[in-house]
Amino acid sequence: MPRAARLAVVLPALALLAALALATERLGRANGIVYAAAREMATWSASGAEPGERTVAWVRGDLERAAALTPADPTLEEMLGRLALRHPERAEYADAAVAHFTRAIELRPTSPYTWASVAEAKYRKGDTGQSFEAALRRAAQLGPSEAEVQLTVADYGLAIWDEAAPQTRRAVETMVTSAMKRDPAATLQVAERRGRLAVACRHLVDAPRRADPRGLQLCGSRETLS
Amino acid sequence: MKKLSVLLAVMALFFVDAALAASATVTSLTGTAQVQSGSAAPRTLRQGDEVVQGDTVSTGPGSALVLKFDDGQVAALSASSRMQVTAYAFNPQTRTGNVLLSLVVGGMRAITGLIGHNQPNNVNFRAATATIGIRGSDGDIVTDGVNKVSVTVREGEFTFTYEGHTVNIPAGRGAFGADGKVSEGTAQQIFNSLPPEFQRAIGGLEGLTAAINAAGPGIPRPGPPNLPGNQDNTTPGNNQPSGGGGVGTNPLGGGPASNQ
Repeated sequence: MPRAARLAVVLPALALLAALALATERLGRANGIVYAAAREMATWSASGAEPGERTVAWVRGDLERAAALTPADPTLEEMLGRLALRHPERAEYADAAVAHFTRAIELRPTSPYTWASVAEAKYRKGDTGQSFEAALRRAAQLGPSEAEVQLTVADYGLAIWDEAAPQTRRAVETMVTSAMKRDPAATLQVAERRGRLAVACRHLVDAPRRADPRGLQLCGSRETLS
Repeated sequence: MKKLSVLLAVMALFFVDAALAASATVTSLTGTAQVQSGSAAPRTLRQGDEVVQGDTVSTGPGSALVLKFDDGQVAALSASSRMQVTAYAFNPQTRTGNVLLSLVVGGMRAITGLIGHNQPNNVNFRAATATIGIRGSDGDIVTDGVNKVSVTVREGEFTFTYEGHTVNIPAGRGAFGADGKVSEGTAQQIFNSLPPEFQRAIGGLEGLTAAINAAGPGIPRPGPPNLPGNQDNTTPGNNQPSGGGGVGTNPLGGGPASNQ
C-alpha cells in the first residue's frame, strides 16, 4: 500500500482515537465531580438535615461543571432540577427546576420519572395548567407499573381532582387503581392527605392486601367502600 | 457501577426529599387559599400541600383552612386571614424546636403540639403590634392588622404583650388590645366588646372545630407525608421508598441511569 494511502487510513483513525480519548477523559472528570456531589446530596436526604447555603452552592457548582463537560446527560439535569426544587421560595429556582426537568425530558423523553418530576416542579411553582396535566398524563402513560410514578401522579392528580380535565382524571384514577394493588397503605395515605379517600377506597376491593386494618378503618369509617 | 448505584440512591431519595424538612400540611380547606414563598409568585394552596418556614398563607373571603405541623401543633385560619410561618423548626428525635407564627390580619386558632409541651418558651405568635407567648395549649387570636388584637384562651395560659403592657390570660378569659390600652375579662365579656369583624372571625374559627379535631391536634405526624410511600423520618437513614422494586431499582425509569 502506498504511503499516502496508509496515511489516509491511519490519520483519521488516530484522530478518532484522540477524540474518543478526549471524550472519555471528559466523562471521567464529570463522573468524578458528580460522584462527590451525589454523595453529599444523599447525606441531606438520609439525615433530613438542611444543608447550608455554601454547601448547596458548591454542589450546584460541581453539577454545573459536570453538565458543562457532558451537556447531554439527563441524569445531571434531573439532579440540578432536584437541587433547584429545594428552594421553591425563590422564583428563579422554581423556574430553573422546570427548565432542568424540561431539558431532561428532551434528552430522555421516555422516562416516566422525569415526566413526574416535570409535573411536580410545575405544581410547586403554582403552574397547574394544561402542560402540568399533560406531564401527569405522560408520566402515567409511560410508567403505569412504576411504584413511585404511581404515587406521584396520584398525589398531584388528586390535588387538582376538581379542576382536572376528564382525560387527566382517567389517567390519575388508573394510577390510583394500580397503586392500590401494589401498596394500598401508602396510596390511602396520599388520598387521605389530599382529602380524596373516596377515589382510592373504591379500589380497595381490588387490593390484594385489602384486609389491612388501617385501610379498612379509613375506608369503612367513611363509608367510602363501593 | 458504584457511581451508578449512588446516583440511583440519590434520585430515589430526592423523590422524598421535600418531605423531610419541618413543615405543616393543609389538613382541611374550604374555599380558596394561597401560599407565597419568598419572592415566588403566590400559588393556589390545596389540601395536602405543605407549608414551610418563610411561607405566607392567606385565605379568601368565605374560606378557612387548618394546618397541622410536624410536632402536632394546629393552626386554623378563618376567612380573609393572612399568616406567615416566620420560623418553624422541629427535631423529631429530640422532640424540640421553635415556632413563630405571625398573624398579619384575620383570625387564627392555635393549639400547641410537642414543642409547646416540651419548650413552651419556644412557641410565640405575633399579631399586629402584639406578641403572644403560649403557656398552655389552645386559644384564638384576631387582629385587624393595624393596632387591634384580641386573645381568648380556651385551655392553658397565654402571655399577651401589647404596647408595653404584658398580661397573663388563663383559660376562659381574654384580652383586647386597642388604641394602646389592654382590657381584660372573661372570654365572653371580651367577645361581646369586640368589633363585629372580630366576632365574625371568632365565629369562623368556632366553625372549624370538627376539622381541627380531625387533624389530631397535639399528636405529632407519624412520618413525612407520603411522597412517595410511607417513610419514617424519626430514624435517619431509614427513609427507604416503599412499593417494591420501582424506584429502588430504577428511579429515573427508561432504562438504567447513565452519565452518557
